[in-house]
Amino acid sequence: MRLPQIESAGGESATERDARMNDSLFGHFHKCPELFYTDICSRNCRIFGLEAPYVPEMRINDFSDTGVAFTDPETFHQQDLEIMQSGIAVHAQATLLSADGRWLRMKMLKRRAEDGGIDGETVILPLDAIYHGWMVQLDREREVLPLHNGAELRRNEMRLLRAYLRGVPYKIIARQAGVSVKAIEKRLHRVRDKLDHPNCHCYSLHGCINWHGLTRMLMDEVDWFNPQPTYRTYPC
Amino acid sequence: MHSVNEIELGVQGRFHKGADHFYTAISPDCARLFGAPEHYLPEMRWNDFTSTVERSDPQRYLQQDQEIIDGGLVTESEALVREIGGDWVRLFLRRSRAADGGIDGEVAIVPLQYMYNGWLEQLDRDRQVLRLTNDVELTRNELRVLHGKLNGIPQKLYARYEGVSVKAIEKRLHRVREKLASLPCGYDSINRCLDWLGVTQLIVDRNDWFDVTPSFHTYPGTTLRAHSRVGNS
Repeated sequence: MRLPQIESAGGESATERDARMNDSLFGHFHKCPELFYTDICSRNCRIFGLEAPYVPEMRINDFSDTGVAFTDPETFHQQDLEIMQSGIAVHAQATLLSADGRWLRMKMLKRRAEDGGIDGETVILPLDAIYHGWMVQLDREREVLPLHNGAELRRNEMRLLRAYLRGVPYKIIARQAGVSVKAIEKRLHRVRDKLDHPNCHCYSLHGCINWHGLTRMLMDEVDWFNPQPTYRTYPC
Repeated sequence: MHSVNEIELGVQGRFHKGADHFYTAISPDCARLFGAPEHYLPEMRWNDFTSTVERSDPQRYLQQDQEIIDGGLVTESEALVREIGGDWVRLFLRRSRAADGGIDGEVAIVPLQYMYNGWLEQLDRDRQVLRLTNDVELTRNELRVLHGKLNGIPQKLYARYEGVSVKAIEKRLHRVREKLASLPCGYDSINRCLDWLGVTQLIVDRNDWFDVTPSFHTYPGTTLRAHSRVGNS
């Protein structure tokens, strides 16, 4: 697997860089060792509501108010310090609310730059695209997800399915919900009925969920009716 | 349709096909991926058989487009393709019947090395193992058995598919559990350990990462008549 080229700290003209970045699927940023951004690509500027083109004199850092709902900047900042000190590269994933009010998923690769700062590459996707259109189907007032077969998944049912997909034992799900294991089995049975689809030969509830293209969305967030910005690096 | 800003956001591309299945518009991101000229013009007359990128059966794709046109449908799908530069990318596609009777398509593109939190680069293709830490590796067979487990495939079915006994599957899972127990996360459950590592999605998404072939998967439950989609374009 070929890694995308990281731009060098210098030696490339602005025109060359623009041309190359236009040729790229990636966004990028650069932070100086003082952790002020010295470069943010136009794509990322739009997401963070910044004026493009970004110039170092704008002196934005992770604590600047950009109008984006982002998780704890302190963690992000701390991690950058660790990257600069140790020279490790870090893959991270963030869910954030953009300046124009859309939930986005940002995949990130951060590493130490030649000048001792941070080089970052980003891929940003609207959540609706990676969840096969289900985000726009969420009925936030009624707290249900209407399926195309006419059935509706309730908020609690979505949380139950998440636990199920993540392999949480029924006993633990039951304990957390304050009900019996039998009740959890009944609920799952009811949910499977809702996920009913033509020619169902699914080996398990997993198959039915996947038929609806819901697996990724259900697994990724505890509660889609109260989404929170997240930032995760792995291992946790 | 998306506004200009939305199209430029991230890596979303789009395309339009006429009712005769020739592309009339391809956004620059998509064009680059498939080796089409960046400023694509309808006169270039590309169709699904023109590009040489590695992807799954274009015949099936074409047939599905015809169903979308005939049925006025909106369809969501996911594909794994090897773009013209040689990198594997994941595409999230939404296709719908266009006002002119052709196909409108929206594409979100994620390079695979970004999709899985860096784990794809930890695959040792020579030794056919996934390096979790300096001491812990999962073998190709162990990754496959985990794929079955995370996708809820009953052990009996999976054993039959693999041509081994249920006992052999149980043994593999036991071995995996022992390996994961040495991780510093302290979790007993396989699922939680994998989640802690951030490797779950990689394992869920494909049965065998050592034999990557293009794939195309449509989710029938996302298909609906164009007029019934709410809150979207």
